[in-house]
Amino acid sequence: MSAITKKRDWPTVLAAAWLIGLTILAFTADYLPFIRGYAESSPEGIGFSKGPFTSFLLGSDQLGRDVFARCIYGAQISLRIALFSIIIGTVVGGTLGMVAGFFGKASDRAISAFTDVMLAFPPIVIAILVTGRFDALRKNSEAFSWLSRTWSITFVLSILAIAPLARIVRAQTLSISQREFVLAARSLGARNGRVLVREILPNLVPAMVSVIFTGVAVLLIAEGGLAFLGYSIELPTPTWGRLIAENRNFIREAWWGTIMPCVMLFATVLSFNVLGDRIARRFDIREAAL
Amino acid sequence: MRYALQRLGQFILVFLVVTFLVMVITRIGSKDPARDLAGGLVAQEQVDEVRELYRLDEPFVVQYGNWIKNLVTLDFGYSYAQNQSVNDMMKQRLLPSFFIGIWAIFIGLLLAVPTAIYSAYRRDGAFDKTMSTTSFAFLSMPPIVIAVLLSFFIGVKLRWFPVDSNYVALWDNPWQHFRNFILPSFTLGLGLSAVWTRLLRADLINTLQSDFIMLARAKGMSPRRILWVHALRASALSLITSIAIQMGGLIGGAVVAEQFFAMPGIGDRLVFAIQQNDLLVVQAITALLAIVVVAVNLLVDLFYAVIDPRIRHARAIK
Amino acid sequence: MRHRTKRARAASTVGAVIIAFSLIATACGGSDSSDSGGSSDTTAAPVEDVTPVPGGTLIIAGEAEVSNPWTPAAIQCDSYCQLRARAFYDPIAVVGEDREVHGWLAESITANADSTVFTIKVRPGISFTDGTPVDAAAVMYNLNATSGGLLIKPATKDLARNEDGTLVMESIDDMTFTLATGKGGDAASPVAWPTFPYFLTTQLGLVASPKWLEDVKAGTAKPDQPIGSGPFTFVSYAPGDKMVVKKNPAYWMKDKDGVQLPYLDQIEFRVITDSKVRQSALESGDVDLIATSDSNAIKPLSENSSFVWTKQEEYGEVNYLLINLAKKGPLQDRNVRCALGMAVDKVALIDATGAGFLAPAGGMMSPGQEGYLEDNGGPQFDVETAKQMITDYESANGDVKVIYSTTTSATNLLTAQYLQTAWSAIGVDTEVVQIEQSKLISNALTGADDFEAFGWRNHAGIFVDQQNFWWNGNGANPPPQLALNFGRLSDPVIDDLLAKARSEADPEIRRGYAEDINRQFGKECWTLPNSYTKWAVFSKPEVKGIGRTPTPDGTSTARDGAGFPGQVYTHALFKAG
Repeated sequence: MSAITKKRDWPTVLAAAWLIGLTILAFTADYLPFIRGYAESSPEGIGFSKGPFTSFLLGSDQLGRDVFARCIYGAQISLRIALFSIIIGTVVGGTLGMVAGFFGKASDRAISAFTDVMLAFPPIVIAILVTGRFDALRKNSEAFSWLSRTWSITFVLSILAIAPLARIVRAQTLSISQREFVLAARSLGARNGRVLVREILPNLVPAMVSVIFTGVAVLLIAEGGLAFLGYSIELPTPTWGRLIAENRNFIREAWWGTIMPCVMLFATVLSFNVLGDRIARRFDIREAAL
Repeated sequence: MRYALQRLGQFILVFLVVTFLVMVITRIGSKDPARDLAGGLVAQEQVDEVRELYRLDEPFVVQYGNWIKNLVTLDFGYSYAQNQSVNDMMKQRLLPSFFIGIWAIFIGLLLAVPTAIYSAYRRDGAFDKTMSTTSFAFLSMPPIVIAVLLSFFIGVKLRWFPVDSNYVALWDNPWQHFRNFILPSFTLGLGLSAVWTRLLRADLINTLQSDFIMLARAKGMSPRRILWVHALRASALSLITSIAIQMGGLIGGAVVAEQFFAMPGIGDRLVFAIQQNDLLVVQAITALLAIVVVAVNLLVDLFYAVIDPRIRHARAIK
Repeated sequence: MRHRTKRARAASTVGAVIIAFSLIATACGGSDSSDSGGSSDTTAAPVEDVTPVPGGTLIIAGEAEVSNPWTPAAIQCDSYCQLRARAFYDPIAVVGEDREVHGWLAESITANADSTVFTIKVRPGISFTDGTPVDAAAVMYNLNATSGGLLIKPATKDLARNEDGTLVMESIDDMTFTLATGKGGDAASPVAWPTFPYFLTTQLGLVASPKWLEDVKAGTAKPDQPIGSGPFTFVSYAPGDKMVVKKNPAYWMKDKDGVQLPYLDQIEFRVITDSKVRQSALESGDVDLIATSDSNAIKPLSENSSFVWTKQEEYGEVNYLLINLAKKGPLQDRNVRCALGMAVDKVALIDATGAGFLAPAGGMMSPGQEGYLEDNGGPQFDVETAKQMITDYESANGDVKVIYSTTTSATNLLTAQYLQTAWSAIGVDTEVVQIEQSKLISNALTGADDFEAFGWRNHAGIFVDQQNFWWNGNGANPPPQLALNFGRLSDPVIDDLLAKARSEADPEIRRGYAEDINRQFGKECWTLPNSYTKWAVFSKPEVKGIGRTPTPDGTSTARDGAGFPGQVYTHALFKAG
């Protein structure tokens, strides 16, 4: 495209490969013989008895479950929650940001005030507070009995994603709005809605994609922290954060219990970061610190 | 000046909204806030006493007003779960958390600044490439992963530093203070240094291409002086802004680090209070943390206004 | 250094951990030579006679922190609390190594012929650290205050009370008074209570300065800054973090050579809730002594010859499933309960969660306790029958769902997951809720809505009488009333046996009653025991004097962990070499 000889961009290739592979494994886990069933406790591996690359791919944990299988199931739920939350955050935050950036003045002031307040809350603190309150809500009121931890955490993470996304989209919208083709469309008499949808939105997409990738990375990290503090999905569903937290006490006798999920989490977050970064660079988007 | 007042006004407004929201959130799903506060182990009369004392059956706005009024006298209420006044608890626990944060920022800067300067100087060189990858890697490591690795390799295997951190004041015993704080602060500082290295490097590269740097070089100024004095000063602003932006994440990381390394700070008490439904403590600590974030942002904004006249004037013209 | 390498063979353990409210000292009554393993489990330190070195600071790390005021009436005293409280409070009496009651603040405790009235003579010449004297009035004040406390009252139900609720006590002179029993508090119907003096070795017997207690009531003193007459005085306390005490220069006890106790200058009690971190803290030398009941920590430490291992494996708690019998639901059906018990392979459970270190429980009384049986006839591991019982129940009554609550420790999480799997294998859906320790206790106390089945640990003791208030139907207050009989157990067979055991002076007959109670538990599956806890105290070799605190009458030493395992007396500790 640009140069005569193109050097293969190894990080991107690896990152993409990892993510694609992981996603495939995660969503076909139930059908794969070497994963299905291994996440159940088995007498064979009980008490961390088997290390990695034995009959258990990544070793067995305290209750005899295969760490690899649990990691894959963990991928399923962690990815699902992170993706879901970031999409909701993007839709809501993105809309707010577009409105603020495009229409300016009053709406901008209102939305900016709102994001200021949201950003004043330290994220993890709010996450555990709200999750804790949702637990109480679920316990004490019939109407909210569906509010399982999975929903609570998704909801909370979405809310936390809104403000930063609104800010980023607002900045992007502001800069796009000044560009010539928008001015052109307007001078031709296009109405606001049309300009928004036809001109601005398509140009936001690359930035959004980059932010979504980076956002998933951040949310995965956040979910890990939450699980460590005890605010994870209802048992026995594994998530990476829970795996790390659960097994870290046994790190001396059975390092694989904690280190393997750590590696998986790290590799996945890294891959998302790399891809997000590459996309941003490709479309020449200014780095907006999340 | 007008700008400062304007921002201060905004700050107060945000403070009020934030603390009010915190209060509302802490009451979500609570069947009987008085009983939650008083703890499960007490007789009904005590629960009623608590309800009266904190006006828990009156509308939110009244309760909030009461809370603000008490705030002025620094009366945050009483924690029945811990059997001490919230004030006492804060006094006992603020310093450790403060130190974790300060040392984390310090370590972050200590690692980031020289790395970024050298990377920008020898752009695309071996050092730059390696550091870029490394910082990307640290960026992608969640605090818990770093904590697990650090505590295992350094704390358990090498036994250099204690895994169970004890708070020793800096002025009591500097060496013990250092020993106890290094693991938790490093856990957070590594992540920060990664963010700042990348940020500073990009900014420095930009600055190094500007005219006044070229002039300095033409005048024969040494590279070291150019880098460390002039270029750094120009890029310091974005660094300071980033510190402000990272506050929220830093506080969250501190909560995790305190739990992990058993450092007796307020983050740990916050988690405990949330589990215990100790509403007043939760309110007080969350409000405090939110204030810190907003205050730091305010200070940075004011700082900006002081050094950048355009901002001051832009407001005036509007 | 001496360390025990023999440990119990693989046994299942439910690592379910809850604070033991062991309010009762255990004491071996009579000539109980049938104590199993009496000699291999001892709390007496090795008989090396090292000359005590005065001075120094000791750092102790303990397991849990139930944030309390330190007034004896209000403390939820688990074993770590007992360890600390006995550093600044003196009890009325202690249990000696010979398992008899020895007066501590009391010079003598004598019962009348039928054990319905007790005469207590207070030792003269002792003062609290605020200068006020320890006399009959002070002790009586404390007994009234403590026995009126929410948590102690049920244990003292059979002490006679006046109309205003105070105990029926008569002072004979400045230092002597009597205490009378009465069924349900009624002075007119005295209860023969031969083992009552053992209650004076527990939380009930802790004596604080009445002046301080009055000041706390008036609001001029803080309840978390205690004043007692003990070997150490309070310096500072930060909940969840640490407590510091320093030597009481005017302490009244001397050792056998006439040297004033305590030897240490200062003790720092740290709270490290995570047992692995506590283990690391000991190994890296940050702390000098730890008490732990987590087998995953005990196992590696016991294999580490650089630490002294003091076992406390008798008269300990039972890890069991506490069931809320007052809540409407499947758990009120005996078959459902027994099925849940049959679904669990205790040995495998212990292997998975307790490093194979604990012994599977065959009943509700642990080894050494009155009523201990190797097999009380309770449910045996049998998945097929269990499945059948559940299916039968479900066809008549709908799905069986259980909410299982436990604390937030990693071991308990594992146990919870193990049980969840085991129970889903027989068709029971389990929801696991992890709750912080003191909240869990208050949920049990108030019979909260989501309290169905708790992974629990309790019932350390020596006599079955000490479990009376836990299991007695007269304490089964329906929720939301507070009840120490958490499960709201009300079984007339057990109630009858408990009453008989209280008044029986003959140890053999009493033991028979206790065993019958154990069998009744097995028959009805009121609770589902999984394993017996094992406590251990690990210390650096230079820490000496564990288990060497003499009793004031010089005839024995104060037995560590008597009724609240995980506790050691700090009077005779010192650091040497």
